[in-house]
Amino acid sequence: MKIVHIADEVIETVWTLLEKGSCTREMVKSAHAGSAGYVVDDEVLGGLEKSGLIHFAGSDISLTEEGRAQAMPIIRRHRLAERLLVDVLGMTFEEMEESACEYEHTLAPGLTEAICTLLGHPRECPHGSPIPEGDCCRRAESSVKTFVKSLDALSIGDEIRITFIRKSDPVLVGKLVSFGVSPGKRLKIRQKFPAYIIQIDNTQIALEQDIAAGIFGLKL
Amino acid sequence: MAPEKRHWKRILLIGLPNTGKSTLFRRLVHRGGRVSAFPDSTAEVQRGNLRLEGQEVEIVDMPGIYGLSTNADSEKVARSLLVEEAPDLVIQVADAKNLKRSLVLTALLAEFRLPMILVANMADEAAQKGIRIRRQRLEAALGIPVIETVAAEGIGTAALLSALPQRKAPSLRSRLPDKIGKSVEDLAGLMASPAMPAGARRGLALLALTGDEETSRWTLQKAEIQDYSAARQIIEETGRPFYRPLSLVCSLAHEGWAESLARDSAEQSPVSSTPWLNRLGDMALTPVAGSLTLFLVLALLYFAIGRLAAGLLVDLLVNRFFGEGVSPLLERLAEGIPWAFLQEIALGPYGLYPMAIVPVLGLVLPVVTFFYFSFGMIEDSGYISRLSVLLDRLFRRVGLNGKAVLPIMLGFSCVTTATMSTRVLDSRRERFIAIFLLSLGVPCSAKLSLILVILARVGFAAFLTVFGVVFLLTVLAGVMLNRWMPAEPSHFLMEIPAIRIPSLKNVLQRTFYRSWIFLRESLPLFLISALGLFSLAKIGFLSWAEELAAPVIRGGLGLPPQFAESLLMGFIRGEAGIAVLSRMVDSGVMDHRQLVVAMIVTILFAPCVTNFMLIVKELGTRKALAILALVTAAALSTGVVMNFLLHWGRFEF
Repeated sequence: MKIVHIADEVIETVWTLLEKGSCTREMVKSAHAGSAGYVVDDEVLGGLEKSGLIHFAGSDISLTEEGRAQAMPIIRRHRLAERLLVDVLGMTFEEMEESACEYEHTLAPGLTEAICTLLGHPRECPHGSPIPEGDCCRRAESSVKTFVKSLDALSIGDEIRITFIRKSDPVLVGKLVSFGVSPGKRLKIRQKFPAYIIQIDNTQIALEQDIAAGIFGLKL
Repeated sequence: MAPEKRHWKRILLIGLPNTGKSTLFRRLVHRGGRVSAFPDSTAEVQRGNLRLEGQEVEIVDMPGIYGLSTNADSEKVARSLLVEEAPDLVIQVADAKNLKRSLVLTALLAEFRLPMILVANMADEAAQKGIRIRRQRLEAALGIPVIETVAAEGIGTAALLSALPQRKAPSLRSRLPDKIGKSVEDLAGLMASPAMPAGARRGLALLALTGDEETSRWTLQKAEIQDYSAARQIIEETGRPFYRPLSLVCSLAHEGWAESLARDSAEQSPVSSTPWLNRLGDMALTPVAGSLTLFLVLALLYFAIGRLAAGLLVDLLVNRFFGEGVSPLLERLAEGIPWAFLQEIALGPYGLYPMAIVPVLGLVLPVVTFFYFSFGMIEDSGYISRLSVLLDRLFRRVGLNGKAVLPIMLGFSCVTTATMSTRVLDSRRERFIAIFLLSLGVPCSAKLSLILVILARVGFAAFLTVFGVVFLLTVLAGVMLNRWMPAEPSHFLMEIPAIRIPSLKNVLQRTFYRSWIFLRESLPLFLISALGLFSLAKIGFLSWAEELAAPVIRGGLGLPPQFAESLLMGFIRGEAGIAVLSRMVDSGVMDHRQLVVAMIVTILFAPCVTNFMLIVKELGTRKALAILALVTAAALSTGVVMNFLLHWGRFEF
């Protein structure tokens, strides 16, 4: 196992733990306890501090500017890969985890952008963690290459499998889920004006344009 | 188990919106109530009684809910009923057509460890869609009785009643993700109150974890937590590893379980529905065919209510039955009464007979009954939610959305009921706007019936003018409120139930019940206001008040001073105010042009007392007074403008 690879794994762990709230030496060590082929100990962590990727404050660990810059694309690739595997290839969460770890190191930058565009610039991974924005997201590229589209970009009669819902209001998202509008569901667009009518299972649901624009799916 | 006699106190009916809870409730307590084919219809808690094992048991019907963790009014009510009122049994009503969605709620309710029964309602519609429920499998998986019903027809209610005494708590194990399950246990452990059953503690703990901030606070307070900071810490730590709100994490977990159970226990065979009915339902949703449908529905309504009831039937009743039959008889009877005073109270110009009995029984009741019937047919067919889709964009212009179509339509039945039903709207802003517009421009069926009767005699131009002006003013008010009030997001999201042929039996039952309620409420108030007016006339107050109001009424509105009586009575009971107008036309003190102005003012003028009191309760005194003032100002100024325009244009009707 190359040292560079271990460094990537560790800063990725630190990033994830920090997102969730806090990151300590112990947490990082135990997160890698089961890893095959390498051990993360104080020596490894010390090495990372020397190379300017992480920073210690007591037992807490944070990422340096450089560390963040290095971890960001890894996180992005990993989470995009997860989306690709789940949304397009229909893998289960367990299957996904292993493959995603491979992709995060191997995807070329151009390919990452292509996948991101293909998936409709998703903001969250299947677990719900945020996917860092790439240049393509900021340019909001959409073209025929985009496979995952929001309902307002699809046409009447289209059938999709919902991949994600991009709405920040948790009450609204909860309501959508209880109506059966949740990732993985098949949905058919019946009508788009004056309001959207979608059909899921045996239920017809009416919703406004604004909500429809936040529901993304893969055309079947 | 020993056949020991258990104590029964309370049964709770719970379920997603539009699953037929209220219909079932009525079946169980043999008592009428308003239920519609529109999602979120029962806006408040209904209570009734039923006899069970020789005891009187209270049964509570509550608003439809999707979950328990948000601060929506309906969920707040559900939470406190579940926790505070300690039900002996929870009956969950599910839509048999879509069992999965209800099972998500079942999984949540099961966490409370209360005895439950699952009712798969609307089994007939499910069968029509080719869905067959495998009851045994469901019962085995849940560990509680499962009963199939068609509440609207009363099918299955007997089976349900006989299953009530089983009182089994669900045996399904918790479907919460492990980490959350553990935190629930930890949190429940912190709840000291020994009086509280373990299940309630679990339930509260789950709500504290998954609820929004206010819910969480409420829950911790209810649970009498001793170590508040420890509880807070558990809540925070549990949430940390998850990016989504815990409520969503849990409902997704429940969702997965529900999906597989539903797949296992509800068999879907090829659909054998009535295709033409479905096509009709789809058509009513599209702009062009939908507008045509709406036009057709309105035309039918006008014909049935405006022509048939307000014209033909009323003419028969008032002129033939009362005019030629009852009145001469009463007059002859009255001649036998020695006291002139009594004669005057009964039959004089302000007497009870012409002021209350004839208008209520001869005019309002028949039209209102026709109205309730027509509205019942529309409600029962599932058309109103289609209208919501059609009108969503237009309603947005006045600060509402498609969801407000039901409250506004209900207003044409009874503005007070409609005011109550605005609770289905999401924001306080929408509620204020809806209640304001209801008070201003929506005449209730009782008022409407008299308006139609009077206008039928004057002609169609008058009809168009009156309703055109009222409509325009209402829309204008909505647009202005929408612009002035600070914006708030409002989401239009609702289920569209299948269109169905209304059940005549149901509709007739409901019509009878509503008409009876109407009569019971209206007649006494009508009599009281007539008596009040009679006394005011006797003591000379009336002429004094008329003189006082004359500058506005005669000068501004160009109306005879007696119009003050109409406004006065209208505040007590809307239709009583219009009855005065009718008498004024008949006695020739008012011409048709004046009538049109008077009618517009009366429709727009203040909400009746019952409605006003409800508005105070719903929005607070300040806002209620603001509405009253604004509506009165709008009514009078519109009247003045109309008077001027009609005179200036030398308009004749």
